[in-house]
Amino acid sequence: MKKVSFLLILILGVFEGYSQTDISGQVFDDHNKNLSGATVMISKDSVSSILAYGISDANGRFKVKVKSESNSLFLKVSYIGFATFGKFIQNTSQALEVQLSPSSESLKEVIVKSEILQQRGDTLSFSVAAFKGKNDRVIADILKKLPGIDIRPNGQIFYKDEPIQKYYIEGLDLLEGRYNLANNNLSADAVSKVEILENHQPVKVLDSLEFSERASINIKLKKDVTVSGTATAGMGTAPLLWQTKLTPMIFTKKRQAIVTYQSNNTGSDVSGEIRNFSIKYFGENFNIDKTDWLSIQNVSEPPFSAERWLDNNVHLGSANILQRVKKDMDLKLNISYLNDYQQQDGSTQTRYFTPTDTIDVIEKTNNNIFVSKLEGELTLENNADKNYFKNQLEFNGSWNANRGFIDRPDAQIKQQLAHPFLGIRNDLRLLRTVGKQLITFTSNTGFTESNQDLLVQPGQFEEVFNNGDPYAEIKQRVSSRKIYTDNSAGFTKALGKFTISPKFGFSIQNQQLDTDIFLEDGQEVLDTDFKNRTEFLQSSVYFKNSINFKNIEETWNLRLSTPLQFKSFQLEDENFEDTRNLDRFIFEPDFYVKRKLSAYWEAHVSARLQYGFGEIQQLYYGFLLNGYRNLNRYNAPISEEIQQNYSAGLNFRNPLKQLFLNASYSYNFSESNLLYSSTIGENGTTILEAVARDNNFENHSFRGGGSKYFRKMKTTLKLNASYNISKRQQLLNNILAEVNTKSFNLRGSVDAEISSWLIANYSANFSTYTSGFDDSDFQQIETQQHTIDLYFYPKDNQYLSVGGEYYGNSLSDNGDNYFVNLGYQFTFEKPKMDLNLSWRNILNTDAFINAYNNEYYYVQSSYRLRPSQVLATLKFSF
Amino acid sequence: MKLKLFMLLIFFSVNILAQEELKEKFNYKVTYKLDFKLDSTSAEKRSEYMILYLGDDISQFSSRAYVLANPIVRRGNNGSTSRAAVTKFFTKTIKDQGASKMYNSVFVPMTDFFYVQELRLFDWEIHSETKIIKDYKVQKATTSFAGRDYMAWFTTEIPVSDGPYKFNGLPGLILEIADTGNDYVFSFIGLEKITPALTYKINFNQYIKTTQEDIAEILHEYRRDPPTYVRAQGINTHRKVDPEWHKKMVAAFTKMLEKENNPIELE
Repeated sequence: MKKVSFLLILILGVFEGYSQTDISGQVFDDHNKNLSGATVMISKDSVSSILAYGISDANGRFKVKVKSESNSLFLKVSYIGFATFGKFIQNTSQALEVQLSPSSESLKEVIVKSEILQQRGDTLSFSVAAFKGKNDRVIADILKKLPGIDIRPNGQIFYKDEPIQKYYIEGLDLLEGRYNLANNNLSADAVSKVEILENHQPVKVLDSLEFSERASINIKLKKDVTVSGTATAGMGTAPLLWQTKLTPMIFTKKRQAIVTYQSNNTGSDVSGEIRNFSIKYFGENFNIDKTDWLSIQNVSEPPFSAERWLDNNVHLGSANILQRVKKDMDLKLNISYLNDYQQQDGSTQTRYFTPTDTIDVIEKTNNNIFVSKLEGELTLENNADKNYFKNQLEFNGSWNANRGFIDRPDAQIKQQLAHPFLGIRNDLRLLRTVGKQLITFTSNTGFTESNQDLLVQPGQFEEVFNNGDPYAEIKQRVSSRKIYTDNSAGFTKALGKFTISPKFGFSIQNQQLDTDIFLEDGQEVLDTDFKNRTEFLQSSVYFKNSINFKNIEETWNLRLSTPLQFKSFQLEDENFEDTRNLDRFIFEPDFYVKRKLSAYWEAHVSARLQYGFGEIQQLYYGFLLNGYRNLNRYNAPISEEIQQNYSAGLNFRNPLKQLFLNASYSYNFSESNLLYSSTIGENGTTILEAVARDNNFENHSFRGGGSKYFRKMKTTLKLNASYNISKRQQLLNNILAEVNTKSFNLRGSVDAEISSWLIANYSANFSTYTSGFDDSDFQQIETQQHTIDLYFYPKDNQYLSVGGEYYGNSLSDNGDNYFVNLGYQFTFEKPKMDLNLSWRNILNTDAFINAYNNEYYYVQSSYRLRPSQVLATLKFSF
Repeated sequence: MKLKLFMLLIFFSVNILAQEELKEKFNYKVTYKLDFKLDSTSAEKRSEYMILYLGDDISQFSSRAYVLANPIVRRGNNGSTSRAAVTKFFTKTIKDQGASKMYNSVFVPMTDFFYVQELRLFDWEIHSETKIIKDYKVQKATTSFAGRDYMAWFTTEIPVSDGPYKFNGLPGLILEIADTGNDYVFSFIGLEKITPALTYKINFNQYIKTTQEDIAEILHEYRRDPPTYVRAQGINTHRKVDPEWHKKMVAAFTKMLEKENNPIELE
C-alpha cells in the first residue's frame, strides 16, 4: 500500500534543528472562485531552487511546511491562464489569501511534427513474420490471429465486430468484395505486412467529411513483382471422388491478376470463394436478380453441410484483373463461369387440410439439374481528392435446365424446364462539390430477359384443359422482360448532434410478361384465360430524408427517416384489353430509438409504417402453370398492403459476472385489399387466385434469452426461446377460413474448453409448430436436433474432430436420423503441405427424413444422402 | 398500453444513482512517446504515442489510438479519417484535481470499466539537478510506484500538477519520466493549445465500477479468447467460429499474453 498524502513536503539541504514554518492559504481567481490544482512554491528568492511546495485542493486551500534559516521566503503561486503571483513573505507560520488575475498569455507551444501524427508506425501495421506460425499457409491464417479480426464461416472478415470495408493488396482494390479468393490463396510467405486502416474512408473526397466506422485491410507484399497461389488435390471413395483447386496470382505495381479453377464431385460449394461481400450503395429497390416463373417439384434440402447430401459435378473458372490506368484511376474486370450437374433423389408426402377435407399426395422425386452461369463485371473507378467517379457494368447470363421425374402411386410424371436468363446493369456513382456542399449522384439502370419453358408429361388439370380426360402433355411458355432506371441526388450534413441526409430522385420500370400454354402437338390453348400479354409500368418520384441523433455519451441514439414518394402504376393487358391504374402518394416513417439506461441496462423501441404494392409476379390476369400441379392467376385490382411494425426490447449485461439477458416483443399488423384463394384438387393440384376483399394479418412475437460464461470451467452456457402467434384469412376451396399458427422454439448450447487439447460443443434445438382453422388446431409437429462435437489437438500439427448429430420429428414413423463424422488433419513442415482426411456419414445413413408444416399443409420428406465416404486432400501454397 | 407506459417510464427515467459525471473543456494537448518493454526476456522495445489532455480541473491520459477513436475528440477533429490501430496500453486515466481523485477506465468490447484511486499516490523527492527539454527548464524528482523506482523531470513553467499515466503531484508538469530499468520511458514530444477548447464529458454512471484486479482479469480473458468473450456477452448468438481456427487463435494469443510479463505496475 502506498501512503496517501495530500501535502508533500520536501526540504532540500536542511539541517536538523531548523524550526518548521507552516505556510497555509487559499487561492482565488478574479471572481473570488476557489482555484484547485494551483501550484504553490516556496524558495529562498525568486530565482533559487524550490524549498517546499504544495498544490491547492478542491477549496483552493494549500499548506506548505518549510524548514529554512532564512528570514524571508519567496512564495510563488501559478495556474494556467493566470499571471504567476510572486511575493516575499516572512519566514513565520501564516495564512495567506492569494488572488490570481487572468492573463492572456498562453503556454509556450511545442508543435508536434505532422509526420508523427500521420505516420504508420509498428503499432499500426502487423508484421507477418511476428504472427506467422509454422502451420500457417495463406494470408487468412495470419489475419485470423490479429487482434480484433474475426473471420466468419462464409469468409467475411470482421474487425471489432463490423464487416471490413475494403480489402486492398498493395493499396489496390482488385477483388471488390470477392476477397475470399485472395485471402484463402495468397501465400503468407509472400506478405510482409498486414495493415489495418481503422475508420477508413475509401472515398478520398469524403475523407474529412464523412466519418467511417469501418476498417479496411491492406496487404503489403515483400516483392515488387509477386507470383503466388495455392493448389489443392483430393481423392476419395466410394464412388470415386475428386476435388481440385488451382489458384495462381500475380501482383505488380500497376497490374494485378488472380485466376482460379476449381472442380469437385464431393458436394463442396465452390461459389463461396467468389462470393461478393462489398457493401452496395444503391440498387436496393431495383436489381437484375433472376425471377423464376416456373419450377420443377423439389425436395427440401437437409439443414446440414452440403458435403453430405449434394450430388454434384462442378467446374468453376474465375479471372480477376486490375489495371491502374493513371494516378487514382483503376480499371477492373471480374469474370467467372460455373458449370454444374446435380442429381437429387427423394420422396415427399404432403397432406393438405381444407375446412372440409384432407388430401394426401405422395411423390417420389428424381431431378437432374444442369447449371451453366457466366458472370462479369467491368469497373472504372476514379478516386481523386476533389471528386469521385465509379461506373460498374455488370453482366449475368445463365443457361440452366432441369429435368424432373415424379413417381406417384397412380401416375408417373415427367417435367422439363429450360430457364435461360440474361441481365445487364450499369451503376454509376458520382461525388461532386456543388458550392460548399458535397452532392452524391447515383444512377442505376438495368435490363433483364428470360424465356422459360416448362413441359409436363402427361398433362395435369384435366378438368381445366381437357374436359376431364387424360392428355399427353402440357407446355407453359413464359417470356419476360424488364427495363428500369433509378436516379437520385443527395447529401449528408451534420448539424451539431444531428445528421440529416436528404435524397431526391425518380425511377421508372417497365416490365413485359407474355405467357402461352400449349397442349399436344403444339396446339395452343386459345382461351384468353390462359394467356398473358401484360405490360406493367411503375414510376416513382421520391424525397427521402433521414435524421440521426446521438448525444455525446452515446446514451441516446435516435434515427428517424421520413421518405415521401409519389408512385404510379399502370398495367395494360392486350389479351384482356384491360387496363389497371393506381396512383398513390405515400409516407413511410421509420423511427428507432435506443437508450442506455445504466452501465448494465439498455432499452430500444421502434415503429414503422410501410406500403406494399403488387409486383408483376402477382399481377397477371391469365393462368400460369408455375409447377406441374400449380396453376396461378391474379385477376384482381393491383394489390395494396399497409404494414405496421412495432417492437420494444430490454437488455441486461453484466460483464463482471459474464451474464447476459435479453427480452423483446414485436407486433405486426397488415391490411391488404386482396385475399388469396387456394383450390386444392384431389391429386394435390392447386389453383391459386386473388380475390378483391379486404383482409388482415396479425403477428405477435416474443423472444427471450440469456448466456453465462463460467470462468473457472471456461464454459459458455446459452439458452434462447421464442414464441410466435399469427392469424390470417385465407380462402381454401372457396370457404373463408381464419388460419392460426403458433410456434415455439427453444435453443440451448454448451461450449467448453475442457483442456488445452480438448474442446467440446453441444447444442440442442427443440421446436413445435401448430396450425389450425378458427378455433380448432389440426396439426402439431415437434422437431428436435442435437449436435455434439469434440475436437482433439494431440500435437501442434495434428487435429482430430468427431461429431455426432441427431434430427427427429414427431410426425414421421421412422423420423430418427443419426450421423457420425470424423476429420483429421496433419500438417507437414517440409515440404509445406496440409493433409486432410475426412470420413463423412460413417453410419451410412441413406436418407434424411424431415417434416415441416405450413398454414394448411404439412410435408414429410426424405432426401437421399451421399453414402459413407472417405476423402483425402492435400493442399500446398506457392 | 401498459407496456407503452412502462417503456416511456424506462426511457425517461432519471437516474437515481449518484451522478458521477465529469465535464471539462480541454485547453492543451501534451504528446508523449512511450518506449516500453512488455517482455522482460527479450530486448525488443515497442513504442506508442500517448496523449494528455489538460483542462482546468480534469485531465485525461491515454494512448493516441484511443484518442483518435474517441467520438468526442472525433467531433473536434472534424471527423477526419484516422489510422489508429491496436494499442498495448489499455488504461485511460482521468485525474480530477477538484475531487483529488483518479479514475482509471478500460474498455473491453461492449463495456467501459473503471476503478477509482486517490489522486496523490506519490511521495516525491525533489532534487536540485536541472536540464532543458525543448526550451523548458526541468528539474529532477524521484519516486517509487507499484514496484518500480522512477526518475522524473518536471517544469514549473507549466503550472499543472500532472504528468503521463497516473503520475502527478509535482509543482509543474512532468515532461519525462522513466523507471530505473528503462523498461517504461515516457518522453516529451509536444504541447499544443487547442482552439477552440475541446468539450469533454464523461458519465461514469454508464461505466461499470470495479477493481483494478477484476479489470485486469476481464481484459486478459477477452484478449486470450475474443470470440468466446464476445459470445458470452450475448452478441451474434448464431455465429460460430471454426473450432480449429478458434483453437489456433487462442494458442497464439495465449503465447502473446505470456510474453507480456513486464507490465508497468508490477505490484
